Amino acid sequence: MKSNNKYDPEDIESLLLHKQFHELYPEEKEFVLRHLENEEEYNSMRNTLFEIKEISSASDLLRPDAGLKKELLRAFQGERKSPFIIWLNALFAAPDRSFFGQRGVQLSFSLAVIAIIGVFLFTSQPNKKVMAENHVEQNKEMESPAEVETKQADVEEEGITEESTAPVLPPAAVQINSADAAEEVNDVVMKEEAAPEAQPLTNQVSKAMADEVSTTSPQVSDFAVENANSENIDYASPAITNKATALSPTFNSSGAELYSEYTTVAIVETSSNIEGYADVVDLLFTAK
Amino acid sequence: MASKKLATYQTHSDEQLMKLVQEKDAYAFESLYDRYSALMYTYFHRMLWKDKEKARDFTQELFSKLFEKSNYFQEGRNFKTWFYSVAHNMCKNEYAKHEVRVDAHAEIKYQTVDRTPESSSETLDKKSFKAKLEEVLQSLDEVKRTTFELRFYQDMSIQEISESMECSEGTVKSRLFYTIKELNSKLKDFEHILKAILIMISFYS
Repeated sequence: MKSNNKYDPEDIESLLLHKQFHELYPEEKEFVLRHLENEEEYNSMRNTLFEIKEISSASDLLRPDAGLKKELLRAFQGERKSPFIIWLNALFAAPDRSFFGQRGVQLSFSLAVIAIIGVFLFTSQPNKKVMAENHVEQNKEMESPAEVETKQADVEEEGITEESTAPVLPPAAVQINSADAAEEVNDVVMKEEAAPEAQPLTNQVSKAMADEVSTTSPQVSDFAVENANSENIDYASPAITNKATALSPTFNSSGAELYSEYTTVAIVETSSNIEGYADVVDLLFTAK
Repeated sequence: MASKKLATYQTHSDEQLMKLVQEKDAYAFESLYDRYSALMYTYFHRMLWKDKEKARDFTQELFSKLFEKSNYFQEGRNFKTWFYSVAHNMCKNEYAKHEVRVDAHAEIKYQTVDRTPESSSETLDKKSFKAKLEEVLQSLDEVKRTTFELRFYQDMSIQEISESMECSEGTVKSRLFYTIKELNSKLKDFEHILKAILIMISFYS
């Protein structure tokens, strides 16, 4: 404390605490008097500072209640546990609730009741699912004109000449029963006999139809099988059979529709090699 | 077992304990609580208008932050100054929230001023001075009051205060000087009145 440069206003506190005014060095006095008015103020501040020190050191520390420590330690323990365990405990181990009062138990019972009711409702109406499936199949079968056109385009790519003007049959929209279907097939085949050129084709289609319809329409199936077996079947044209199989719907009550559609497709595909194609188509339309 | 471990931790520094708290050591947390709970509770009590409920809530929140946000404590830092800086910021937020300064006169009534007749004039002198000091302290602005509180009631060094309040040591010293000067001028008048009262008491007794 020999130099004036060493003193700052904030250092007065240490001077106040350690020295009386008359104990100050001349340079210290000079410094003090730059910030305080006179010796009296210095001594007054010194007294105040000592009073404050005395009061502050004598002031008792306040202590929080013991419950605070317990709460904090509990919170600390909770912080250590994983959130999942805390969540599970909240569901199944709430200390202030009975077994049936636990949220998890109540939730489990609720879910079990809902599951039982759901299973009961589901199993009590078994036909609904089948009906729904039939509905979907029916929708598939009822193709739009656009789909029919697409199908025709596919067929043309596979062998139809550009000159061919085979009519495209609209999708059959009317369902008929099996007996009617059998009768119709019979008529068609009889008319096909009038066109000998179309005979092999008819046989092939009949074979495909026999396979397809056998599971759905007994009367039609019997006839188709009989008709197919009665002639030599040419398997040299598997494309026809495959096409018919690929497009084969399985809907029970529309055997006649199937027949007419497959026959048409098959004829269209082989039309370039068959004379009298137009006659056959006419016959089919007549049958339809 | 638990008490043995707690006893072991008594020799640990605050920083070592804090590191253990970061590792979720409950005994370390308990040790820190034992060291600082009274200090912090008193600090909040004094800084928050002598409101015991508020002081309790703030102490709880402060220690909750200790383990919830323990990762904020950086290694190498002084725990005490860090802890006080958190407490100081909590008080600042509280001041900003309320934006009211408690009426110093109302606070005086809440304080421990004994209204019963005094047996000696010296006791009355000291208690009255203490009450007046509290009154004047409440009238100071928040920065000066906090600096004074940390220096004289929390017994912190200038360096610790500067770290806690995030300012230079020179600023702390300057604030302390002007605070003492202001207190001195305000308490001087009170001393004159007090002396007159004491003379009257001694005259009538």
